[in-house]
Amino acid sequence: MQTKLFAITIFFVFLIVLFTLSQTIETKIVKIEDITTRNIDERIKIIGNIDDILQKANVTIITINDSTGVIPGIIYEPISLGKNIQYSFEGKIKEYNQELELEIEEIKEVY
Amino acid sequence: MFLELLLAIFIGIIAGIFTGLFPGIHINLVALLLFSISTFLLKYFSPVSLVVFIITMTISHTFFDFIPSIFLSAPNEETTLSILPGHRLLLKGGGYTACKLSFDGCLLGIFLLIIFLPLFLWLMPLIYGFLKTIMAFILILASAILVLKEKNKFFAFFVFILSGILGIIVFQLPLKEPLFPLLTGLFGTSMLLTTIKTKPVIPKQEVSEEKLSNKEIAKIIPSSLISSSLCSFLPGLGSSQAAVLSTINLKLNEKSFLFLLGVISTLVTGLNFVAIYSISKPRSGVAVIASKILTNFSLNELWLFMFVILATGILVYFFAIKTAKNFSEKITKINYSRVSFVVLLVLILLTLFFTSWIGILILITATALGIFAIEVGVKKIQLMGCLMVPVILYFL
Repeated sequence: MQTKLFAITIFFVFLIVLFTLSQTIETKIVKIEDITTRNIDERIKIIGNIDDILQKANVTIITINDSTGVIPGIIYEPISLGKNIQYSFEGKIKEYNQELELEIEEIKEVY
Repeated sequence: MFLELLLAIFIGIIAGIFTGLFPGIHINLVALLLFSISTFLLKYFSPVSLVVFIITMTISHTFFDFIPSIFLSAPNEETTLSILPGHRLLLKGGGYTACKLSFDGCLLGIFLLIIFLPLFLWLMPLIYGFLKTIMAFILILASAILVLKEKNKFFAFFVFILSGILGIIVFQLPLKEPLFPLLTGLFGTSMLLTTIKTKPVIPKQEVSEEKLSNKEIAKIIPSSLISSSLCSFLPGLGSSQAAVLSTINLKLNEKSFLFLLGVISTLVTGLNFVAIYSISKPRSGVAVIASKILTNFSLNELWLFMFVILATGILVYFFAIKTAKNFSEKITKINYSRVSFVVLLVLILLTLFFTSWIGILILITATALGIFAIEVGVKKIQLMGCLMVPVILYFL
């Protein structure tokens, strides 16, 4: 009985800690020139502008430029973006057709 | 080319033995490391050889994975269910029998894969086309069946939901390998801590060559074929769940269950690679990496890979039996709690190495839930809610 209670208490305490971390922890900012296949599946953040926007039926493909290089970014939700605005793009690096791309989960304007 | 393939098979078998025997090291991790250096390797080796390496490693791992699961009580997510019947046999002096029956099942699974390959190739696209429209419903149904099969349904559901919440939170953290501490905690360290605490006495082990009757094997084959092919389509469902789902209409003793788990393990592993060709959907971590290395997967290559699976399976079967015999002879001579403690320490260090301090927090949380599941007598399969719940939410 004691072990059972102890285990579930520890679980809930650490679950709250993990939840708080998931809401507050900052994803590391990476320069495009430093992104390699080692970063595949890693969650990263890129600060940069949009060079090009290609709108398709269910997906928006953008070209992100951070002055060190360019990388395609994929967004699966309809979104309105501007070209001369600096954004922070957060998501996971994936490989498609032997090319690296950022599967974007969050975009914020950087002021 | 032929020599290159032989070299790939040889190194793949060695790597699979290592990942299988060492608790906590998953083949996904080795395949991911291979993928990260694949640009360099592809200068010297063909993509086919690299995929052959991945396939032989996976098959070899599937066999050898049963040995620590049964002898060291440190299962991973793929063999979680074997801990109960396997551990029970170990405590009766039948650790070798448990391994041997699992290996027999693994080998039969490979034969079934080859024999039924044309049928799988014909059926897979048809079934998948239908299933993907009702994926969330099927996953909810499978989860409900697994919960309803438990004696204590309330705690089973409670553990399933809690592990689901843990999975959702962990996948939001900026980690490259979130599954490593999550699954190590839920299935590995929780069991090891329980072993250290309860200090089980391992009796003298007997090496007896038991076999299942043909009648019993015939009973197992149809349900294992159906559940394996279903689980090879469904994300989040592994061989452990497939084994439990197979027993809906079957009453099996612990020996038959281990044999069934063996059959399903290799069938699901093989079908994951078949799925790349037939539905263009890799269904496991290693299959994803194989499909990235070899982008054009032809029927000729599929047959080559099936031959490699068959050759590896037959070869590894004898190695695995020899290793299980050695384990069986030495297990009573070692300090069982001390070995469990050393394995626990290594798993903690690996977590720290791969996922830093956030991984340690996940490991503690997952371990606590794993211990809770053991204490309330819920099958550890419910802990797979950590993958099932996020996948269900994705498809809803």
